[in-house]
Amino acid sequence: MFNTISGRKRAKTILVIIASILVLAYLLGPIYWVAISGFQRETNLQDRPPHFILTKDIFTLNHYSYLFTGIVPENSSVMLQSMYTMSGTLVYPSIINSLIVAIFVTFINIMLGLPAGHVFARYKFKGKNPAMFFLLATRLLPSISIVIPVYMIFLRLDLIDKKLGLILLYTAITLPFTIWILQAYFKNIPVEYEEAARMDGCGYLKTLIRVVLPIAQPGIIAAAIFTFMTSYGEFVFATILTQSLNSRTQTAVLAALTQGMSSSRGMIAAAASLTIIPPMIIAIAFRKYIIEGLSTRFA
Amino acid sequence: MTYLRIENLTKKFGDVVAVDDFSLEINKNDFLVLLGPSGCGKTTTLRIVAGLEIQTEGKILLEDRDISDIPPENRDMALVFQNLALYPHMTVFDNIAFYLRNVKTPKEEINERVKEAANKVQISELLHRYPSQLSGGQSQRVALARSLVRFPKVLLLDEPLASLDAKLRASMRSEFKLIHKQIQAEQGGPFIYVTHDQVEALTLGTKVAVMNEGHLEQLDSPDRLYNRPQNIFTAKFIGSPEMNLISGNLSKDQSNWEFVYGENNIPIIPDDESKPVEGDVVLGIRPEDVDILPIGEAGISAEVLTVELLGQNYLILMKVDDNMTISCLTNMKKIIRDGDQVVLGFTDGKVHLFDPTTDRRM
Repeated sequence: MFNTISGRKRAKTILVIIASILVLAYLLGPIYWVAISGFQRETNLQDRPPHFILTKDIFTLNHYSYLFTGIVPENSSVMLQSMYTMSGTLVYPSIINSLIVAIFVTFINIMLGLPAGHVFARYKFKGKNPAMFFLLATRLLPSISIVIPVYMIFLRLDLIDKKLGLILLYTAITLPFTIWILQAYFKNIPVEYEEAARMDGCGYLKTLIRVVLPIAQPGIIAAAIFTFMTSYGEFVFATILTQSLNSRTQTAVLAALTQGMSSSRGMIAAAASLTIIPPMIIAIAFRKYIIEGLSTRFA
Repeated sequence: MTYLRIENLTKKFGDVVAVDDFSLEINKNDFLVLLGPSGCGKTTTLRIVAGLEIQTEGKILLEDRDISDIPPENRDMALVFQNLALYPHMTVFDNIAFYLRNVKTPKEEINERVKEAANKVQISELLHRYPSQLSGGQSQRVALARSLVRFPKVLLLDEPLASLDAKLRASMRSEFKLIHKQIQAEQGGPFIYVTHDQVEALTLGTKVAVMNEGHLEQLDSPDRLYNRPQNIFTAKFIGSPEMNLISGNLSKDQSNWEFVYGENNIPIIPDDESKPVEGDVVLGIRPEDVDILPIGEAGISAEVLTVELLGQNYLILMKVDDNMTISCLTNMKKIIRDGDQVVLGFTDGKVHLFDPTTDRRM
């Protein structure tokens, strides 16, 4: 097969397909397993060999119904009932919290990051290089190392267990990256479009909104998605800085859920599946922009 | 009243002087061409007039009003960019209508004027296309329409034909001339056109400013630039094929001038305007003014190196000595071949004499 051009092409295609299947299996395998575990009877989850395909006799909606109603299904054993821990009912509200926080954070990021990134890309000013370095440097610290000081500050400012607190903090975490990504993206857009807009009567703000924004749309969406994902999935601060359902986010609740040794694994799987849904919808809906925005060469 | 005045314009980028004490006056009906090699400051000057660059020193006055401090969006000038800069996310119609929408023109008027502008440059069928769906020539015309749909105080063009192929360039050149006439008829403003192509400059301009390294070499009509270059740079830059320049000596024998090069003595007849001075001189002669004389007449002896066919004419390259070659443009009444020995003379009144120390015309 390898001594003809078309033969080699075919061999290459086959290899690529095999490799793709392996990679996909590796990446999607766990997700698939969690997804079907959420619909499997608790008893069947202990079976060896495990069931990889959902059949009628192992299917159940009990886990999901518990998550949403808190009512333990009657037709299960006492032991089974004790496996449904209270925190299961917190999953759904915590996802809402996560979404609210993530959406606000993303919105603020774009409102502030867009003009900031544009200015960094287009203008020279004193202190520009130190400013850019400082932006990135703040992100080099791992969250754990600053959690305690942040907690104390938040305590003083009465921001503990408030969504506002998380929003402010996450904005501070994500804004540097947003500015950096947008700044690099703007640099790749020829400045002539903005100059043409100036000649056509646009002031700075109009130029930004009517011309720069539409042209930079893929980059902006990529930055927004990155911000959203970061905010939605943040764990360290979410666990420490929140207490009640006022602000508890899905990362914290999910972690608490998995800590119980005797928790129902089906319930945990169902909870995890729920938390995956919003980011997955976004990623699928905007996949075109993610690819385009992130594949720009960030020189 | 002078319509546009550029006064002592200087622009420095750090230590680099891009524009050096540049001054110019333009009338309302002018087609001014800023001509020069890359890096001579012509585009920078244009951008300063547009307001996209800020001058280090100097002033721009429009109709006697100082606009040096006014931002570009308020100068009411239009700029056709070298790479066109058509908004990629808008249709051709929206591209052209953009300015009108910004100044809150009523919808019906926008419609009318866009269609009119599109007609002027013959792109009426392309109005709902996107820039990515246009060819080079079409994009060029959209960029032009975008400027023509308004009546800008000044229409600025930055090497608009640079990205087009040779044939398209030639036809667009004629179109530009026509459009300028049209705009003039409608009481429009002057055009300022930047290019490095001297053919464009000579065919399009009413006034051409030859620039070099930031300063103005000569400002004149195309005719005078060609026939009366005031300095060596202009003499070399204008005219294709390039003018021959020979360093030699000028001497006067009674009332006859003679050019001495090595052992060659050639009688020359300067033009009426020049004031020749005896001594060292740089003599310029255009290839079409080099005459091939019969052997024995007084002139420069040379050996033919190459004969190139240029369509209607032949370009003959001849070697005088190791340092000097002269080219001649002729339609070959006599058959010339490689290796021939010839004698060259200069057409009366067509020699250009330059002072070697100042590079200026005598």
